[in-house]
Amino acid sequence: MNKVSVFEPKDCRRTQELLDHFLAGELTVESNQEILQHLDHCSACQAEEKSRLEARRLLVDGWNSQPVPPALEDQVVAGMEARTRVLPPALRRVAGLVLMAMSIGAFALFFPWMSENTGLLMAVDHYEEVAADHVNCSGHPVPPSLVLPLDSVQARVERAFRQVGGGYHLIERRICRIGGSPVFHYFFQGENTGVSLVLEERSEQEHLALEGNETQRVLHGVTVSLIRSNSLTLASFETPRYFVYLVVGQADPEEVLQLADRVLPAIQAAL
Amino acid sequence: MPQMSSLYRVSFNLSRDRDLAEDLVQETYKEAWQSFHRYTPGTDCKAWLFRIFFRVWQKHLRQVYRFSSVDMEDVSEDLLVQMPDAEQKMESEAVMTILRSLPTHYQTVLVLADVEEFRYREIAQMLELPMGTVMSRLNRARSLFRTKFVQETRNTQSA
Repeated sequence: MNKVSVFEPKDCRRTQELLDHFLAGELTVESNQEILQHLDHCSACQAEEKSRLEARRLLVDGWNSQPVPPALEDQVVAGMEARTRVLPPALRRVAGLVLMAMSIGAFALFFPWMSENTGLLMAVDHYEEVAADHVNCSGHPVPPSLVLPLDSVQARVERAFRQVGGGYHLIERRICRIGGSPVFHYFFQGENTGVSLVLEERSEQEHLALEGNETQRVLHGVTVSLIRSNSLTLASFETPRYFVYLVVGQADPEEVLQLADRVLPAIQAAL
Repeated sequence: MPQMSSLYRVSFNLSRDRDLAEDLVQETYKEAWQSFHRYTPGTDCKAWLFRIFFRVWQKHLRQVYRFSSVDMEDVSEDLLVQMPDAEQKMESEAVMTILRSLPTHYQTVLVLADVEEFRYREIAQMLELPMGTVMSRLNRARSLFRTKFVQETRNTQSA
């Protein structure tokens, strides 16, 4: 019996439909097996396979024969070196955030003796001065009389804190250009607490790298990073759209974690 | 520099402009350097770089053009084209002419799959397209490429 005759025309049709996916290694094990069995015995499909492989080889050869400018590599390396001389981006980002946190933390330390808005704005100004070389920010102080749209992020955060017994007010909006992308920051200050809250809108371009000198705790299913330095304690966690920082002066880390534990569900629900 | 030649060729093929192609590659490496902390060691570096490249390319398009994409989904399909014999070789230049005669979005998926050998899933991620769209474009791209390839071979033979 002729071996080819055992195959219906539809088998050849199906094989040739799947042949490219077979050659690309994208078929399931079962389909692969099916095609292999057919190819073993069908000379027409073998010829088709051979010619498609040849066409692909010519395409690869043609593609790879396109010249690449010899100076391109030097240009790319020079471009990367120019950035390195400024400050590595991840480090720049961390430096900016640490400066921000330190500034707010320094304010928080002296909070009982200062009026809240003036103090935090001083800290923010200080941050802006120090961080200006690292991140390009422009701040927009929010006047106390501003009525926030009910559905705005800021209003939701303020409501979230009220639910857990604390009054927080947005006092500063800030746009920082990090890696070329505008990233929004919102600074909140508590009414009767030395804790500041900073929301940083998550960016496609950047990712906060706060590795080292930190411990992590899972609260309500969320990983909370606790970072402690000489001047401040900072608890941070992520929501789908924001990085959230609770910034305190020299506080007991357990107190910060208790605060994070209390506010986290409300903030998550708000954001 | 890893993958620079591959990136440059894709860049040039999309932009058709040597200076722009070089700028796009430079920008890709800068972005890669900038977000290197996001790269997971042990994962495919080539796919990661290409994903960054296509983001750079899309950003460039958004800045420069306002256009609506051409719907090429009605291009006729012929999956059963018998190819010429292996002996009927074509010059690289002729093959590239055929490739460049395809709509750009077909060229892109064809090169990514059949030259750079990315998985369909990776291509879908790079181009931010559903997997079904990638497969459909690949089917049409391969079919069109083969059809034109056969026509070119026949023209060469009859000349």
